[in-house]
Amino acid sequence: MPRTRRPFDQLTALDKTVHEPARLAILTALSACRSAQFRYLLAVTGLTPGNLSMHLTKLEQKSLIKIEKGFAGKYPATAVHLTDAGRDAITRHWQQLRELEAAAKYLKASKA
Amino acid sequence: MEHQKIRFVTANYAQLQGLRLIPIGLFLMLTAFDVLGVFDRQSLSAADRAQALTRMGLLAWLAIGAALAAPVYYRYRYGAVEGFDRRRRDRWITAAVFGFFVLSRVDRNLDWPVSLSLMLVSVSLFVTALNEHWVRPYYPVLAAMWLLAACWPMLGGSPPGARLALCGLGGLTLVVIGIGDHLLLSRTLATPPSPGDAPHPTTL
Repeated sequence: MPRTRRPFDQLTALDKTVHEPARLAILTALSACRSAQFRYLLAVTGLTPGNLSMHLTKLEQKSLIKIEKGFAGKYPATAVHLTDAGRDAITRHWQQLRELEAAAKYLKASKA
Repeated sequence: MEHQKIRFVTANYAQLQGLRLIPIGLFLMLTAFDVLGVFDRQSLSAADRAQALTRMGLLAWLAIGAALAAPVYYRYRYGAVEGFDRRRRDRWITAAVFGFFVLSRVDRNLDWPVSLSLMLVSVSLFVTALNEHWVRPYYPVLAAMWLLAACWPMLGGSPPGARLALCGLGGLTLVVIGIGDHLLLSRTLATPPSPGDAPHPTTL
């Protein structure tokens, strides 16, 4: 029964680095723009600065994002943008989630 | 849905800075009252009329100044986003504005019970809402308002002049969009700690 196994296969195939909710929100926001400031990512995710910093470091280690540090006046203005690999990863991830949703709907309909 | 909203707000961050539109909208509405003769400028002396005009000019500058200052507020509160190229969308807006002026001239020449220029605004607002998957629910409401104004002569009312429509309805539209966009932005984005509290880049 390949159809009943498919959603589970798809679920296990999800990239855990991308799928974590905070990182998914960060990557989703970054996929909609060229670059965003650290402060904007704080606002859009609602994370604490330390937490966001930790998630960004993880994403940077996986080469999904690039962090450019600078200053706006006397305040630090860190800009973050997706790398090509990051853009591919988030696009693929959303595609996988859509397929998963479709497969789950199919399963539900076939059971009913 | 939340991720769709994050994507929409980030992609349209500059356009959703609604506080830019409110002062311009209020000024346009004030101008509409002037067009309607609420301020009764005809009964004023020449000196008083000049003074009233100066006041209007000053208010216009104040509105423009406030509109220009609004992005600074958003940058300070939520940070900055460098968006993608929006030339295609800007071209559509320019075409719609140009179309409005052309159709308002057509409206003046044809004695139709429906205003084509106002209809164009209504359709533009509706198409925008449709295109954005109804994220901004006030757009269809505004589209309905412009449609009503477009069909007003058909319903027995006297047709609103282009200037009055542009100032009154346009001003009201800008104020509603401004408030709605600002609320959408402020409800989607949390207020981060003040810039001084943000971690130093070396900690990243």
